Amino acid sequence: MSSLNRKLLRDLVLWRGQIVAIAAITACGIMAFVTMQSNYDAMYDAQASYYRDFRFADLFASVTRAPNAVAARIAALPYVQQVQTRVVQDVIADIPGRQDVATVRLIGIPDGSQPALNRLFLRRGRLPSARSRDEAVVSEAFSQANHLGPGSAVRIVVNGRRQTLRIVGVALSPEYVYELRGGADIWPDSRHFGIVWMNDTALAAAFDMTGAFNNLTVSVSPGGNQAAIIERIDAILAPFGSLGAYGRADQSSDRFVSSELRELRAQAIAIPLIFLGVATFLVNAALSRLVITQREQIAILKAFGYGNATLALHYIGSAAVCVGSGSVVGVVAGLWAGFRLALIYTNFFRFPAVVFQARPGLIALAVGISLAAGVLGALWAVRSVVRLPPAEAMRPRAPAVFKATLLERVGLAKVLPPSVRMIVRTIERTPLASLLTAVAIAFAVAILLVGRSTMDSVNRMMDVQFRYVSREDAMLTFVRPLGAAARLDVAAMPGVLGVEPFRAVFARVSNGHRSRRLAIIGLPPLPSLHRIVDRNMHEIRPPVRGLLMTQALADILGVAPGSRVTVAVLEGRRPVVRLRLQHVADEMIGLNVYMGISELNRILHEDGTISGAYVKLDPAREAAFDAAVKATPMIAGVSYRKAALDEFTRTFAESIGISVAFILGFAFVIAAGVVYNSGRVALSERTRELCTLRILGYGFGDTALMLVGEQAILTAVAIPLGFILGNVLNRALQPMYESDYYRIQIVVSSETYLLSAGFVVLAAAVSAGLLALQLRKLDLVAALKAGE
Amino acid sequence: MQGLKSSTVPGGPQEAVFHARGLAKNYIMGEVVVHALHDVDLDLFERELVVILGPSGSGKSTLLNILGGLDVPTSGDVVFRDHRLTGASANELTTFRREHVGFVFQFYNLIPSLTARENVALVTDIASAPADPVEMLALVGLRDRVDHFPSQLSGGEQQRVAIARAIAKRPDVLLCDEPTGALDAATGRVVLEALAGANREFGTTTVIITHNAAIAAMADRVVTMGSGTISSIATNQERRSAAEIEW
Repeated sequence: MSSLNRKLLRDLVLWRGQIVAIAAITACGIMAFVTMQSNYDAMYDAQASYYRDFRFADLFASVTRAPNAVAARIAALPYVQQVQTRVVQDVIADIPGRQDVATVRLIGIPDGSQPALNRLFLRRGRLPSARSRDEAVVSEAFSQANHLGPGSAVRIVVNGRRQTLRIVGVALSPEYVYELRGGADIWPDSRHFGIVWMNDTALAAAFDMTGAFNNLTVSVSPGGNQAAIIERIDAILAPFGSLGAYGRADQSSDRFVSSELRELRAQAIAIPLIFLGVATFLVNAALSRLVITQREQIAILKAFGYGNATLALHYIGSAAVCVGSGSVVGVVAGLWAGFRLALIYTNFFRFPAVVFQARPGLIALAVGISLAAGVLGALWAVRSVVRLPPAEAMRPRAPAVFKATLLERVGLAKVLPPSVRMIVRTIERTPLASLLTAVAIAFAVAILLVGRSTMDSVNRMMDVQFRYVSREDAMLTFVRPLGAAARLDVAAMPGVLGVEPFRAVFARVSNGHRSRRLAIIGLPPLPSLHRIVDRNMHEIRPPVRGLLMTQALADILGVAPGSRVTVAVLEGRRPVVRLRLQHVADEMIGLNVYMGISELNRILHEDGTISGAYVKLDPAREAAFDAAVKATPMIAGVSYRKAALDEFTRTFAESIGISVAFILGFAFVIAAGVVYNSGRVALSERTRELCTLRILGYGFGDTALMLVGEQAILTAVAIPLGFILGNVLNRALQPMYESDYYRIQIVVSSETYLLSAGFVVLAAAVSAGLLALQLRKLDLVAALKAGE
Repeated sequence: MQGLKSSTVPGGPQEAVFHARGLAKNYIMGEVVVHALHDVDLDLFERELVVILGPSGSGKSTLLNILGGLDVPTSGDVVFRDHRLTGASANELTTFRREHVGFVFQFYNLIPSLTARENVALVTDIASAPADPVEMLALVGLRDRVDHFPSQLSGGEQQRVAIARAIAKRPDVLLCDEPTGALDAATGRVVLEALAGANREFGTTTVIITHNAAIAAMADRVVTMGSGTISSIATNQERRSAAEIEW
C-alpha cells in the first residue's frame, strides 16, 4: 500500500463520524431509489406476467340479455382473438354469523373449467365440478376478510330465493387485482364486497339466462384498433341492451392498478433525486472543509513533489469510499425495504406471485449514481487542493480574516455578547458553506413536510368524501331500475330515518371525437345525504336543467360551462340528446356527471324511476334493517359508509405509517448528518479557540454553546426555508398524485409544520449532543500544543 | 531542597500565593512512561516576577499547566492560597482559572472572529471585578488598535492583546508560556515591557517560562529547570527593565 493510501485510510478512520454521516445520507438516497424502483419493477412484472399468463381481457361489455349465438358474430370481427361470454350478477349475500349484509358479484365460468379469458389463479381448493349447481370459488380478499375457505358456506338471495353456495376454492383473477365494486367506490371493502365464481350453466338457470349471456370479455390481437372494435361490438350488442363496450382504461381494477404503477414510477425517480442531491452537497461540504483543515499536509505533500492529479485522486478516493460504502448499505437496505413494500402492496393488489428480484442493472445503476454524486461533490473541494501553493506549508498560519458583520454595520452589535458575535461572524465569513448547510437541513424539513402532507391531503380527501359528500349510512342499489314507489318501500324498511333516491344510467358523453363512457347520476334538487362538494369544500347543487360535471372530465372532453355535449344513453330506449354543461365542479374523486333526477327521468321517458337510494339509519335498529335487506329480492347490493371508512383507515393507516416511519428515518439521518458534519468541521477548525476559552475560564457549557450555536442558528434559518421548499416540492410533485380519478388538494396541516420543525430540531439536538461529547474529550493542553 | 521559604523578595516579606510540594507528573505514551516532573517543590509569592528557565522537555510547561489548573499532577500537592488544586474537580479548576489566573501563550491564542477589544471583553465578561478592556489595551500601547481583528494586527500586537486580555480580569497570578517565543527581539522587548508593566502596576504575581536566558535578567527570581526537576533558584539583586535586555 502506498503511503498516500495509508494516509487516506487513517484520515478516514480519523473522520469516521463524518464518513458515517455522509455514507448514511447516501445510503438513504440509494435506499429510496432501490426500494421504489425495485418495488415498481416487482409490481410491473407481477402485473405484466399475470395479465399475460392469465389472459386478462382487453375489452369488456355488459348487455341486458343476449343469445349465445351473438358471441360468434363478435368472434368473427377482425383482430378479435377470443370471446368469453358469461353471466354476471351482483346479489346480496348472508355470511354465516354476520348480521350485516355483503354484496357478492357472481361470475359464471365454463362448467368445471377455466374461462378462456380472465383465468383464475387457484390459491386453495379447486374449481367447481362440471355438474355442480352450488359449488363456488371465492376471491381471496373476500375470503380473508370474512374467514371463508373451502368447506364454508355462503347464503345468497337469487331472484328472491335463498340459495346456499358451498365454497370449494379460493382464487385470484386478473380482472379483480384491486377488488372494487366499481361505480363511485374508491376503496375496496372486502368485508362487504367480493367475487364468487360458479358454473355458468347454474348461474344462467338461476337468472333466467339459459342459452344467453349478459356479459362478455374479448381479447384483441396485436395491431387491432380497440376503438374501432368497440364501435363494432357496440353495434352488434345494441339491440340487446348493451351498456357499451370499454377497454382496460375504464375497467375499475386495471384503472387503479395502472395509475398506481404510473405514480410509483414517477415517485421512484423524483424522491431519490432529492436525497442524492443532498448527499452530493454533503460530500462537497465535508470534503472542502476537510481540505481546509489539511492544507498544511497538502502543501507539504506538494513540496515533496506529489502532483496535483495524485492529490486530487486522493481526495476523490475518500469521497468514493464514503458514498461507495453508503451505497452498498443503501442497496441492501433498499432491496429489503422494496421487498417489504411489495408485500404491503400485495395487500391492496392481489397478484398470484410477486417475484422480487435483485436486478444487477438496478444495483449497478444505484452504485453508479452514488459514485457520480460523490465525485461531483468532491470535485469542488479538489479545486482548492490544486490551487494551494506548496509554500503555504512553510508559513505560519495567519489568523483567519474576519470583518465586522452586516449585523454590526447596521448597529446591532452592541446588544450582542461576544460569543454570539463570534458565531455570527463565523457564519458571515463562510456564507456559501453556511447557506448550503442551511439548505441541506431545510431539505430534511421539506422531506418531512412533503411526506406528512401526503397524509394530510389524503385525510382531507377522506374528510371531504366521508363527512361532506357521503353522509348516508348505507347505499342501496336495486337489481334493476324501479318505479317511484320503491322510494316509499325503502322508507318503510325498519330503521330507515331518511331516504334520498338516485338514478344512475350508463351513457356515452361526447364532444366531437372526444367521448367517455360513464354513469350519469341523477340527484334530487337539494341533496342532503349525498352531496356534490368541490375540493374547496363548497357544496354544489345538481342543476335543474343541463349537466354538471367534474373538472377532470370537462378537461378530458374539452368543454366549459355553456358548451353543449352529446349524451347517448346506453339503457332503456337509448335516447341521444344534446345537453348544456351548466357547471363544472372541482370534485376530488371520479369522473362524474350529475343531473337533476327529474330532468334525467324526463330524458329517459320515465316517471320517477330510481336506481337505488341513500339511506340514513337509526343506529339502534341496524340489525332489523340488515335483516330486511336480506329479505328484499330487489336489492342487489348495499354499501356501508362506515365500513368503507374503517377499512380505509385501517389499511391506509398501516401503509402510511410505514412510509411516514421511513420518511422520519430519512429526515433524521439528513438533519443529524448535516448538523453533525458541519459541527464536526467547526470543532476541528476551532479546537484551539475553544480550548483557549476553556483555559481563560469559560465553562464546558459556555464553549459547547459557542460550538453548536452556529448549527442552532443555521437550523433556525433552515426551518422556514424548509417550509417554503416543502411547499414548492409539493407543488412540483402534485401532478404525480393526480390521475383521472383523483384530484388531490395538497394540504399541509399545522401539526405537519410542527412535526417537521420539531423533528429536525430533535435530530440537530442529538448531533449537538454528540459534538458536545467530543468537545468534552478534548485535552486542553494537548490541543494548544498541537499548534495548528 | 532549595529553602524557598527563606528566599527574600524585594519589598519585604511576602505571603506565598502558590505552595507546591513533591509534584510529579508522569505521562504514559504508548508503552513508555515519561516522567515530565518529579519531586518539584516551589513557592510563588505576591507581587514577584519569576522567570522559569529551561530547555524544551525540562518540564517547565508541565509545571505551569499544573499551577494554572490546566493539568493535574500525578502526585504531590499544589495549594493556591487556601484552595487545594490537587483533587479539585474540572468545574472547580475552571472556576479557579476564571477567578485567579491570567494566561499568555506563545501563539497568542486570540479568537480570530473577535476584535482586540472583544477578545479582552471575552474575559472581563466572566470576571468578578474586571478592568476596562480599552484601558487595558491602552496600558499595552494599543489604544488605537482596539477595533482591529487579529488578522489586522502584527504578532507583537497580537501578543499585547493577549496580555491585555490576561490582566484585564485583575488576576492574582499571570502565567506566561514562552510569550516571546514567536516574536523577534524588538517586538519581544515590547511584549516583555508590557508584562513587567502589568506586574508593576497591579502587583500581579507573574511567571514567565522561557528558554531564553537573557530574559532572566528582568525577574525577581529565576528558577532553572532540567529533566523534570528544579535545578536552581536564584534571586536577582536588581531587576533590569525589558528595554535593557538584549538577545
